[in-house]
Amino acid sequence: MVGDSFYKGAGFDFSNHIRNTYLQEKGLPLPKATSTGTTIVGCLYKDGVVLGADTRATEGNIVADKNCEKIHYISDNIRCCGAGTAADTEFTTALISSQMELHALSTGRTPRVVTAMTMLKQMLFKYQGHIGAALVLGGVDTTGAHLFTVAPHGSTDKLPYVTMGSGSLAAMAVFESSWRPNMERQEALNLVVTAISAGIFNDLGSGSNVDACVITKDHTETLRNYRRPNERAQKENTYKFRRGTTAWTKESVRSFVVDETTTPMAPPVTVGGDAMDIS
Amino acid sequence: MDHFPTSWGRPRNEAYDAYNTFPLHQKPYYGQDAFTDSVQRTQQPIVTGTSTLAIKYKDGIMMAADNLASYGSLARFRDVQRLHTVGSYTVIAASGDMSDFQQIQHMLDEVLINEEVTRDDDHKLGPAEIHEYLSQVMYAMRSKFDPLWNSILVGGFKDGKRYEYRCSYVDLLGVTYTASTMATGYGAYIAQPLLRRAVEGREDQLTEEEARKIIEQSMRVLFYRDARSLNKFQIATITAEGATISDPITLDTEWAFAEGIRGYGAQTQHLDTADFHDFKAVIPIVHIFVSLGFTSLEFHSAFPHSSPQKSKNTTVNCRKPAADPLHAIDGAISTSFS
Amino acid sequence: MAPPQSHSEQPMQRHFNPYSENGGTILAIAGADFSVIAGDTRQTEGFNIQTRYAPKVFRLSVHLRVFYSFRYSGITDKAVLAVNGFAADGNMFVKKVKQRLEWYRHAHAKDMPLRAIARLIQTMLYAQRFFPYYVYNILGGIEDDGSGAVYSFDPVGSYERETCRAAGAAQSLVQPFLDNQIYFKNQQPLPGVAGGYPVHLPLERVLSLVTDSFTSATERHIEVGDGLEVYVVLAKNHSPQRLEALSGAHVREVTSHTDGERVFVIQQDLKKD
Repeated sequence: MVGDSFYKGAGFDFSNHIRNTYLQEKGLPLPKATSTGTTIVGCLYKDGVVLGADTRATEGNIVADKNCEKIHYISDNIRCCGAGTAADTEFTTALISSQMELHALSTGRTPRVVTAMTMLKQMLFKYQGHIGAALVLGGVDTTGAHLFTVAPHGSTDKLPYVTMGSGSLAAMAVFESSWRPNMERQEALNLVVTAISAGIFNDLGSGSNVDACVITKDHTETLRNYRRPNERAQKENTYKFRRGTTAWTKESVRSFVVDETTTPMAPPVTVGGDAMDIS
Repeated sequence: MDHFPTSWGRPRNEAYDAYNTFPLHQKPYYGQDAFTDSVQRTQQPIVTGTSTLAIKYKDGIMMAADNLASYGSLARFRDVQRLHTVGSYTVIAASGDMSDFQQIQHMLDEVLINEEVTRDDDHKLGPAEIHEYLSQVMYAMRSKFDPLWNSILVGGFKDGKRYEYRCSYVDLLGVTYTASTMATGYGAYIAQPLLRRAVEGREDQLTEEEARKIIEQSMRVLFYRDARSLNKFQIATITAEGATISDPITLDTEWAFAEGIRGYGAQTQHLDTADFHDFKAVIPIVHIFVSLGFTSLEFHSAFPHSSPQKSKNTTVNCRKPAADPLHAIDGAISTSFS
Repeated sequence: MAPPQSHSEQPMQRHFNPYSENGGTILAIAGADFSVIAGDTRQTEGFNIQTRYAPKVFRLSVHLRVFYSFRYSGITDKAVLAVNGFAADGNMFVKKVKQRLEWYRHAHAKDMPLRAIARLIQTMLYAQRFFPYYVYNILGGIEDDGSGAVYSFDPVGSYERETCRAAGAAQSLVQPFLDNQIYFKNQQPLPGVAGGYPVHLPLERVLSLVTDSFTSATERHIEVGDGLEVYVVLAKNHSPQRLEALSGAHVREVTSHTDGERVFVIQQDLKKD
């Protein structure tokens, strides 16, 4: 885009769009983004809301991260689970989190879950699905406990129990057979663990550990790696390489110690005052 | 972006839409593979059955399939039997194209007449033989590019012998496997996790009563979530006593919590409790629309149409005036409710 | 990426793809007088686990013993075949190879030598050149001279004898590891040590490398897991004590005849997520 202003405005930079379209036509595909083929869930209970997530991030069939965090901070009383393109979920939640903080400072009130939900859906709708974030948003505010899903095109849902991601069907099956209104905290937490585990063990896009988060009127408890059902067994061998294993073509040794000699010098003879030497 | 969750991560089976997630003629094609050039065009399923289930338990095998045959998104035939006994020891359950399934039933009947009636040598076909025969037929047809468009579960129990106590799977590609819990169609995504949790490791302890509870609960959940399913299904049991297929069963379902759901976003309206009775008829529709995230807008437009017709004194009150400016925006949208 | 299409290109026809890909990984390593052939037992379709136990490694003489062992005293268990790729093709291919070996036995009253089985597999694969078996084969066993051997094939029959080979979903993860640990690629030998690295590793080392290959592949590949099945074929002169002492409870002998090669199966659990 020669001729465009050197200075860029805020927001996304589209300057490589034409080049990338051209390269795609020539058969050079775009690099794959990390996606969190995921199981994320949320459910309402007597005193608030419980959110849950697995911890596997994938790049195609390869596990990119065995223990990633998918429950993102929005505000003290609101959290958001993200599925889809990892970068999109991270940046979208971070952006809304920052806007929520500013909103809370300017209004002087605890932010509401509907506010975060509305900002998320308006942003995702604006980008017409190109931001691939599928979210489960939950929290407690002055109007009570709330739970939403936000789909990548910006549509939202408000339900007492929700699931998202590639393991959403496995997790939803658990909710559909066991969810009851007004559960106790531990019951709700156990149900979320069961739902996430259904995703972990039946959906290849989900795996590793169960993260959870319990939000009530005046407390938010983050339960990172609440369950770890997939610890790696001890390896049979150790793979420590002997010194000198790697071949080299040349060797050069550079000393980082600088040798210095300090020669003391006689102090300069002062004439006195600030007068210029005119001799 | 493809928003159907099961498509995430690029599925490799572009062959067919086993779960009827797209209307007829509209299945997206996900591109090419190394063998695209050798692929020809062929038929597609027309009248289809959805999930089938099978589990092992202490005394044998239990299977289930509902009675619906769909035509695209139309619930076309509501009294179709998708379970079929083959000989004395075996039941098969089919999802996929129903005409192909009838053809398979016909073929099996002929095989049985040949093997058991004509010869009359007291050698009876067990589930192992039926499964082997079916998988050879399915593989041969796929190799002719003329597949029988089904996923079939074969369950059986012969002479109380351990090795003849099995349930196995075969599909239109000729892919086979066995396991102690199996499910086809949407059942593979929704029911299989429930079945595995209830059955795996307890195959030899589960009583018939427990097995029936597990199957019924899975069929109930499938009815909640699979839009091509029906709350009318049959259960087959195959034990040492023989194979039986039940009469159609209907389960009681729970929709009460839907009365607490208001809108899809910032709406906070409450209904007068007296109006609930008028709304009850609408509530199942509400649940189904709301539960599939992306279609909540359809629900939104369907709702105002249905409510005034049901009752003229139905009122929707916005009790809380919108204080939050963002709330006010959604409040404006929600006026279409009343 | 594209939304359901309902415009212009009418009538839209659906493609029938006769292939699918069922995940999993196989691996084989040859020793001086033994051969180890392994595969995981998960069968997948898309993001779904179809079953946690579907064997991918097969003995090529499995059912013949019942009928013939008392008639032909020379029957041995020298060959094991691992298949990976499209499961329906894999099972069909194994079935046809077994059938051909049985016919050979009827015609010649002896077992086919391993190198001949390898050549047979090549011709059987190439016969389907224009509608291939979408299967990667690895053949392991004992040659007539008593040496351990591994043959690897591509789907249309190109093959070679190797010391080790990984194939399937996690090939790109496992093969570099084997190159480094079996062939000692990128490892300089100690200066002054005559001969450098050994050509063949002892059985204990090979089995531990197989286990570590599969536990690692399970960690990083979503289609690998659930269970591991390892076949060990020992040449006539190889003492099985070393094997029996090794893994204890997991080991099961499946030899069909006593005076030939011996075959053992080791089963292990892998992670199920």
